Amino acid sequence: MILGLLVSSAFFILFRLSPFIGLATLLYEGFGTVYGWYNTLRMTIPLLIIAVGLSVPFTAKFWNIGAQGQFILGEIFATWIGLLLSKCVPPLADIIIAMFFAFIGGAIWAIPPTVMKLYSGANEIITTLMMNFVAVYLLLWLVSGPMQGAQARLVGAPSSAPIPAQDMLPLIPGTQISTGFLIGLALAIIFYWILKYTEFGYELKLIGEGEQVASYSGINIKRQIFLSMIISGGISGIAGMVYVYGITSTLIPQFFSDISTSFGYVGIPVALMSSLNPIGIIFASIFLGGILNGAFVMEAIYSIPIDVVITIYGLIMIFSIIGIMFDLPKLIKRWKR
Amino acid sequence: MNTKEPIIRMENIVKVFPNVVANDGINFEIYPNEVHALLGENGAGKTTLMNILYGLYKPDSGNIYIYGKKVNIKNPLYAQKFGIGMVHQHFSLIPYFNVLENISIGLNELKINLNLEKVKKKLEEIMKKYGLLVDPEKRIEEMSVGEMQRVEILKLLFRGANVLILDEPTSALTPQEVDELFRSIRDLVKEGKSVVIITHKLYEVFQISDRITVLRKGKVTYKGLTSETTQEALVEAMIGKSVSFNDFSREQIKVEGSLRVEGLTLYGKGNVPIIKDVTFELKRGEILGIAAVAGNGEKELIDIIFGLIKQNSGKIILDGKEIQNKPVKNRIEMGLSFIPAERLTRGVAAGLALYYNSILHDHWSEPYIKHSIINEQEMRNFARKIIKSFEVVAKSEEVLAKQLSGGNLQKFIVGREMLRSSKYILAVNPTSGLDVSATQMVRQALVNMRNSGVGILLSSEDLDELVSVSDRIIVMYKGQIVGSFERHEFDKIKIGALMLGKNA
Ligand SMILES: Nc1ncnc2c1ncn2[C@@H]1O[C@H](COP(=O)(O)OP(=O)(O)O)[C@@H](O)[C@H]1O
Ligand SMILES: [Mg+2]
Repeated sequence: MILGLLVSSAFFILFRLSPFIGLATLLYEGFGTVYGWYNTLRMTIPLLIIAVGLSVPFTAKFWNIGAQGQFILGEIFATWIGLLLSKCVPPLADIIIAMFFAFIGGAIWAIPPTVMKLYSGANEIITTLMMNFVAVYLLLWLVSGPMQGAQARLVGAPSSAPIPAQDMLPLIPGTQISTGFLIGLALAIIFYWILKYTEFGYELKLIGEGEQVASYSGINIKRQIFLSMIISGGISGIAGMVYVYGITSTLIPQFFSDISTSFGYVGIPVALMSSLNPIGIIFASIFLGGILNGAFVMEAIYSIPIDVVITIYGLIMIFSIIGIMFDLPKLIKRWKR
Repeated sequence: MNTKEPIIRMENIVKVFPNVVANDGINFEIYPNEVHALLGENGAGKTTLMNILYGLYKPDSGNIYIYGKKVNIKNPLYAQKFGIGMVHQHFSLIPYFNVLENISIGLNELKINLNLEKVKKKLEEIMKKYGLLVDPEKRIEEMSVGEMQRVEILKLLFRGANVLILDEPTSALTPQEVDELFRSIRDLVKEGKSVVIITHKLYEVFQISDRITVLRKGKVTYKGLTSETTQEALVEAMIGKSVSFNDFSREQIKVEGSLRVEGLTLYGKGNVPIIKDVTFELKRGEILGIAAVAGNGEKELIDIIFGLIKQNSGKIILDGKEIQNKPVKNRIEMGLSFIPAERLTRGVAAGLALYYNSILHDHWSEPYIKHSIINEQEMRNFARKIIKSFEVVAKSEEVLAKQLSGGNLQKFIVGREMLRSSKYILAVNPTSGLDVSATQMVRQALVNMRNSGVGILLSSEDLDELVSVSDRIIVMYKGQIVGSFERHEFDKIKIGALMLGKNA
């Protein structure tokens, strides 16, 4: 991570900006003002929830790259059921039902790649990624067709009808922070505990240590992997629901369509750089959320292309993946020899 | 006896590894135009001796002479310059390169400057001369084991090897491929080369070799021409005559229950049977030894009983209940424990702390887990108990499993499986890699478990171990049970001969 920041300084220099001022602005805009914090947390919430979900299959070294698609399916399911029910049930029930459906939607999207891996060995990295592409186009088609709102249709915008204001997630009193943040915190704490103190968490760790020792230990590997992916997909789906019900209020195609700034993808380094510890994920998601937010501001102020920030992401991602895949000390030892 | 002068002479070679004296004052000679078989059981020190000649290990003492001149073989490059080439049990070919590319790699270091065209031409000459045919453009990953072996041999010949060392070359070959290999070896010798073939298969020695050296526990126990020896003499040299019963006190106790295997059969690739119609019964309070040379189905048999491999047919009956279709977890709950041969990949989760590793087979049961919630304190307590009772050298129970040395890891695994409560223990080479006192401790523990009513199925490469602790021994050869001995009938020579596929 530190290496990543060093290299990013070089990029600032390239854009005739002192790296110190560059980083300082980035951080100031992300964390320096109350307003900055609000915006940072807007970015943080989906990252946090997605990364907590990812930490579950990642513990078993099952690489779910499909959070983005699972997130989108969660958005779709939650919006659909929300619009359907909004007049019939009280707001709180609506939120709970929407969350449930979002979980189902995300989970459904996680099933095909998981089954393909478990029964025919297809690499989950590739299949989950492909599911993402399908989800993006499914969303585009829905919001410009069957689910397009009446208002949006008039102006030809790809967007659903808005979730009625009274059904949205409330703000934390006295702030402009969505209660989605509290949902994220609660999930992080719950999964910290599950991974650390339950039989399920123990078994996932053993599976992550290798199929041989896991089957020797009497673990039903397929079942636990499947369960971890249902959970991961479902939680990514909840992230999608929280995003729609807390921020956008309508179903719209992802604003950022490239890999590095889509929440589902950024969630991966968030999970990895925290060594899959959900409590660590809280801090990592705030940090990356802040950088992401600062980046938008910087783009506006200094016209630094957002790609520079994306590069920083990439670097952080690479170094944290290396960190987890290899034992750094061992790597260094081998290198010295 | 020798009219010829040896090309290579190894004199008084000693090599000590942390736990074992692998070579204990060995004299070994290689003569021109001969196939020399280096025979011995697993762990006898054959590979070590040849690795020394090939420059991979430095001997602790002893000298090597080539044509009577003392040489210092610092590394395999030197060995190759002296005309020595070795094919290891595990090939060193790059899978996604073709034959030519594999052969060209590293030529520069030998100061051979050739382009691919010339390499190809020279290679084709060599192939024709020795009848070792492969397609030079074929990639290694598309090859059978037999073809890969040919490529390895060609690679050595290309580098001008005059003495070829083949380490257990037939272990992964089909019978046809073995015939072909032996034909090539004869061609090589006809063309003036010398070949050392390392093996533990007796019949091969008579098929192919001119001269034999037998190693046992790091020492030479036989030396002579193949035409002047008998199978009996070789068996005795390989496994020793003295039947030293290392007697543990045995109590006869009566406990109901048995682990029965009926007609167990497993097919491998191409419907070749790995295990064929195996039937036996292990009673509680008994140690049943399985004697087999590695690769005769004994490993698969134990994996099937534990549920890690699925049999093609047959029954496994534990205390009267059929378990052959039950998952591993059920079998553990019904009273099975397992000390596996693969310590680091199977016996422990290498990257987790010892206390995590202490409950692999109990991670769903009290007191370690209650209502699916972990009780870390209980895990730690049990790990400490293992460490203490089996004298595992570890700073604490928080040490990662992979940080333990091989012997200590083995003690930890053996301790874990013995201290948990079980009715039957499957054990594969439980003392391998342990020093003498730890070995004694583990054997004593096995007998104690037996005396307390546990049934133990013990597969071991060490015949001495089987003979000293077992109540009965069954011999497996090519997936079948070819012999069964009660304790009072134990005869290492007879057992050894059966293990090698010979009717004694
Ligand atoms: N690199 C090593 N480190 C420690 N012990 C070793 C090593 N190589 C071999 N040994 C031990 O030395 C003994 C002889 O091994 P080896 O020469 O491989 O026997 P063989 O080839 O006859 O089966 C065995 O007990 C083995 O465990
Ligand atoms: Mg060997």
